[in-house]
Amino acid sequence: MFLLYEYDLFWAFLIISSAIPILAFLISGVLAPIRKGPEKLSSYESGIEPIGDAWLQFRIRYYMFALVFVVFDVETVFLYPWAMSFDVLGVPVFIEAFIFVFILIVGSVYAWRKGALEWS
Amino acid sequence: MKSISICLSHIMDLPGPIHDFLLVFLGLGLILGGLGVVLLTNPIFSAFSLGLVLSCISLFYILSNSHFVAAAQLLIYVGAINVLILFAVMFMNSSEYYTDFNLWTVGDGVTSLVCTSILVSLITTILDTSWYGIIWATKSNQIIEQDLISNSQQIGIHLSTDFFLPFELISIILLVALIGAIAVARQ
Repeated sequence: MFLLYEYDLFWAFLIISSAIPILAFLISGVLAPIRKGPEKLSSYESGIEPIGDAWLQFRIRYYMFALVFVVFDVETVFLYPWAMSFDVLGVPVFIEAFIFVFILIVGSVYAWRKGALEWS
Repeated sequence: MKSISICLSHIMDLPGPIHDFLLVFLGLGLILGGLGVVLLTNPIFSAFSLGLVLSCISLFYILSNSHFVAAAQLLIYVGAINVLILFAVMFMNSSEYYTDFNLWTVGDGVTSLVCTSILVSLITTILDTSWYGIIWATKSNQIIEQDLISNSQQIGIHLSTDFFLPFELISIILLVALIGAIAVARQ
């Protein structure tokens, strides 16, 4: 709007997406009745009775997922400028990007077979 | 500050005082975030403060008209690397914090001397370099319709034509990093 007019849509999106949660909390804060009871103060577990403790031990597999994500995020960032300039350049550039992605698919298969992507 | 603000000339620029105000504001946020990383006792707070520092750096890139690097910084550093650091911090039990800060050892003195000298040398080098000369020298061999092609398109064109071999080598570096990290973390 005022500064960085290329970012008009972004500023509008930012303002609307900040205003909607604030409005939601305000309206529910005004309209909701406050009655305290023992069931309201227990932790929510999708409608069933809460089982076990609320604090769990952090597991290594969460870290493995974040690690694999970092490497593939860097790969994705390299694919963005290739995608932006794809229509200007020709078919050889497509082959180059294919080689790039293929080498990283090899890495992905390695991570898969070594069990870095196991969730349970 | 004026020389840094004209470093990447573009059609669209911020007016002068707003640019300077944002520079000072982001610099303050950066320094406060850095102090927060080092001085906060709870390691999770300091990991979040590191996220603040990386976001401030991303906003600095927006001020310098490099929008692609700003987005890449936000995606990779804040989105992936900061999350990784946060997960590594959450591994530590809360009983392992040490609480005595009052010991100033000889190593602390040496480190503060080295860091202060690096800071002073960086400040004098940055203020003495002629940035105009470097920018105008590298602008001579660009694509002709430079202002019609956006920044990331230029990066893409250069990456696929001039820097094709480094582009493929980057994929090999990422592959090696992935295999190494998984091999180390599985133990």
